Amino acid sequence: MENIIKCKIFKFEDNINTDIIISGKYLRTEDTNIFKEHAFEVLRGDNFYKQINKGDVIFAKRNFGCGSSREQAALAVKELGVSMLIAKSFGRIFYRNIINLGLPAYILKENSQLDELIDKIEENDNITVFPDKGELVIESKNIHLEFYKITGIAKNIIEAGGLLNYAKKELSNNSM
Amino acid sequence: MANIIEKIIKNKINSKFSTGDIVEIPVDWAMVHDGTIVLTRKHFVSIANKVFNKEKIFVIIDHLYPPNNENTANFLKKTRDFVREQGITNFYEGGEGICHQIILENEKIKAGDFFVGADSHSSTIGARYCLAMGVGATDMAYIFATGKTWIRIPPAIKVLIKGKLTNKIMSKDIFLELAKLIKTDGAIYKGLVFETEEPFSLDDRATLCNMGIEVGAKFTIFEPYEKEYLNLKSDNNSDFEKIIEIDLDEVYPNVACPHDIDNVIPVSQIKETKIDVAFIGTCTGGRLSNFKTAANILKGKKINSNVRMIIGPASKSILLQMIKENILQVFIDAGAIIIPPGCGPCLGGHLGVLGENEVCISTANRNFLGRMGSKNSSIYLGSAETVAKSALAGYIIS
Repeated sequence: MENIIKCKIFKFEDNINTDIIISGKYLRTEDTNIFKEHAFEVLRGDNFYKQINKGDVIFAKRNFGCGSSREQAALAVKELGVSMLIAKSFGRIFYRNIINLGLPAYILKENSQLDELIDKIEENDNITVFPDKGELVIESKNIHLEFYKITGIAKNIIEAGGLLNYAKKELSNNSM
Repeated sequence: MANIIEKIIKNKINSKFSTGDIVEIPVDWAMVHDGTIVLTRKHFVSIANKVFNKEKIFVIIDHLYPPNNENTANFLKKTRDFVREQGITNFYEGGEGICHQIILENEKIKAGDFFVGADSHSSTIGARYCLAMGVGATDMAYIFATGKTWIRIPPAIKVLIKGKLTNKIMSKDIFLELAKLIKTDGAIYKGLVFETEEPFSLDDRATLCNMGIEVGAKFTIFEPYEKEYLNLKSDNNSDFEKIIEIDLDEVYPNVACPHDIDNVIPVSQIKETKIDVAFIGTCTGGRLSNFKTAANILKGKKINSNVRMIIGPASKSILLQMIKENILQVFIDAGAIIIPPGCGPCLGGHLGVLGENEVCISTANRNFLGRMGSKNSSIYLGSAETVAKSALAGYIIS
């Protein structure tokens, strides 16, 4: 059966760094609820997490998640309950962290009108994503975009539900 | 024809590869600090019992030390327990210095090694011709368990620095020039290789390698000058996606304005910007040469009465050298305070958090919104020289 996601968009601009996603003062805890509750606080104020419904999509311009290696930023996004992230590009450590947590992050394919189309997309727009085809549609704006499908080891990690599950399987196979 | 990044990878793995391939690679050294060990430890114990090699792991306390509250103190206890249980031999207690500086000073680590740190500025050791990358906690937990990771072979950009580094500017100004040119995502998913016409000092190489992540780079490394390391140097005509030339004659003192690192203008063009805090320190700008430059400016003078100045040596050995060379005295006489070797206020945890509408000029690497405290505060980034002169004037000047 084909995998189709229909949900709402939360839109972000260029260079949303990991300090914005979760501030340094909230890092010393293992309680992932803290990360969720303070996610994007400097940008979106308190209680941003209450606006997000399970499955919603984070849609960003370039370099989303740039900056620090703090995995708390990726955890914060995961704990918000979003189903995926879509962006023009991601900070590479954040990208690895997101994949390692089992959440797909899709990179948009370049096209000559991409920036113009992204500018038309607004917060709360409804989006339909076809992960298997690498396509997304925003019907109300008549926007169709393509993104790179996730392949190779990243795909295996996501299918395992994250790197830790993937590692458990690998380590138990090795010991047999 | 291989570039320096490909050469180092080739020495580590048996299989052939091309740009874009994903390869599994053994890790020579793995590093965590008190910030990233929290989740690394939590994840590691869920997949394994024993670390892959207790002599190949560095655990360094630098981000929040001495502990700023009870919660931090408890996590530090857990960190020490973990180190003891695992028998990890390379453990550095708080006050020894910032992880990247401790690594830079460590003689066990050799040119050509593959180094992975759970911190985005891990590429600092690229200054000693190691291939280094930053990762998150889950990747590090996997490395702790298996001693390996995987990487995509990145395309590389060469930054060719022409001319001589004189006392007109500092290496920080060069990086800010690069950030202005290629923007914060200019090297995203790519290797960044610095080459200079004239040899740069270790401190200057470290500043440039440290900041590679600020333009998105996966690896940042210097081409070697020394005879014994020339085997690692990129072959002539090796593959670079792009070569960027920076002529030092055309670089002037720069400042990165809030809240992005590529928001760079020459200091001479900045409108009058009053400052509340002047901070010299961090893994970018807290080395001996930075303090020497600043001390020459501050000697016999007092900082502006509206400014608080914070001096944070990047390591204990730097601090000791500052004492020996009477540099510490200069800062104290000028009205600055000295904080223990470590990250200090760079990430807004302690020792100089910024309040509402406060403005800081700093030698650090990030001026992100709210990083050092209030979301209404502002961070400007410049060289140690710019910070010292600004501390005297009370506004940003070079």
